[in-house]
Amino acid sequence: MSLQMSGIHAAYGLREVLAGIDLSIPAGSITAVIGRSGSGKSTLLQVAAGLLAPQAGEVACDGRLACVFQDARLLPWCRARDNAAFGLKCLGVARRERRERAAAMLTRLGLADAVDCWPAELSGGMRQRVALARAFLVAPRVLLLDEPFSALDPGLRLELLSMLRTELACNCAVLMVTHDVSEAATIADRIVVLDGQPASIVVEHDLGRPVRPRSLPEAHWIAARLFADQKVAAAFAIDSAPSNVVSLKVS
Amino acid sequence: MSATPRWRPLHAFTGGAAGVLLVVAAWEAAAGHLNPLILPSPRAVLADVITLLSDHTNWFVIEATARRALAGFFGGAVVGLACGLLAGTNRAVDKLVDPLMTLLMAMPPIAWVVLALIWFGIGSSSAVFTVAVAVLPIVAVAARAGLLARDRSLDRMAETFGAGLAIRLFDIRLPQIVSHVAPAAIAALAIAMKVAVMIELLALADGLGAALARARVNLDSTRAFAWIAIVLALVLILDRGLLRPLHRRLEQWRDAGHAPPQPGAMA
Repeated sequence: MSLQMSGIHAAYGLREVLAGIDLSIPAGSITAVIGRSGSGKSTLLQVAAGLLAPQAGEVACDGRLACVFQDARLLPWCRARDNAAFGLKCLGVARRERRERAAAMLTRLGLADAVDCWPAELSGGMRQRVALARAFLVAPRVLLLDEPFSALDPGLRLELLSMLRTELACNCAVLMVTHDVSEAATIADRIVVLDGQPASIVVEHDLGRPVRPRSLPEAHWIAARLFADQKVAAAFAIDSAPSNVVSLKVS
Repeated sequence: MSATPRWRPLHAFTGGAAGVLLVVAAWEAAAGHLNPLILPSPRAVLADVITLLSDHTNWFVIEATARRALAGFFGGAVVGLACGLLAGTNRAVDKLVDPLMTLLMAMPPIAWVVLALIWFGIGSSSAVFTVAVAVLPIVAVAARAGLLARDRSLDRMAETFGAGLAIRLFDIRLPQIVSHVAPAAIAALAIAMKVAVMIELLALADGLGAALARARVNLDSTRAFAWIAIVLALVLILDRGLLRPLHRRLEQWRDAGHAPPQPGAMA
């Protein structure tokens, strides 16, 4: 088991956000946590990343961890190559080697021409690919994704989701939080729905591992099935009619 | 989409040298109506500057002042940077250091001159110390402000990758305080030079300040103006030749956002 969260309770001051979350993510699988804005998804990710200490419960992470955030979080004063190599630098990899590996990874992600660009010269999608390269390069056992594709157009999002499947070794556990049900259904092996104040897991759906990212119609069909569940519909505060879930993006 | 600004020599000229030339013209006009003992003409001062610089012994005079000012500047800047970083990182240190910085800022340099002469005696150490304590709070306050205004999401990003203390300091925090510290350092360099000349004038036997004192004793206003012109030129050279290029180099990434996009730089 690569990431194990047991009995997680978390709070910001007196406001309890998470109440008793149990989540196990085996190596080689992708779990998507969905829920509407403010449902505690990002808090769960912060607890998993060790950025927020839980009030109760335990997080066991089996190996190296990497995180990709919604806003890429590149260092504006470093070129794309050095940003991609940041994780390797933290691991103590020699400068020449990490720069070579970073350039090779950026090339694989379609950024061969942007290796020496500053982040300000890159588009949102390119920055997000640099952030993915930074995470892939450390060969994480656990990868945490905080709505990393939410600001991108559907075509680019599908492309990056495909890269996620192809670049990750089968021994990596991925925890992705998103409010976009279609995005979750495109790639996840399992979808977990958070709801309530404080939040807890209300629904877990095992989808099985897709050979490749699911097509948009497939994802919409899965989303429609999900929303047939009253608990999921209630979590997003919408009617459970399937017609509502085509191109569904709850904000 | 804005294009890269075109270099316009006329604008550069009007923006840079015109102000100085205006002052020199006013000076020349005023000097024509006043006793040269009160206000020598710019031409006479320029001729005296050339005379002074053609005598190699005067280069040691300039070097002595530059050495004291730079030693004090870098000493004060390094300690100030460390104090500012500590204060910006640790709330307890901040509470301890903040009032001290206010007191240091309020302390007149002339008071430090008196104390330095008592503590270190007449010599370069007094000058270096006085310059350092004048520079220290300026840099410390700027570093603290820069650190408090930093993008904390980058700290969290570094934390998830397990970045060590050195990486968090040199790769995450220091680059973010450059925009605060650099203008403060530029101001502090001018103050360093002023303080060094002041203590030389009051207490030391060499350096530009001491040379100024000798011109005053001899009532040689042309010579006094010539030394002042050399002091100003020295500040200008250090500022334009050292600090500003360093600042531009460290923050060259800021220009990237204003440049036209590279071919194929669209997702």
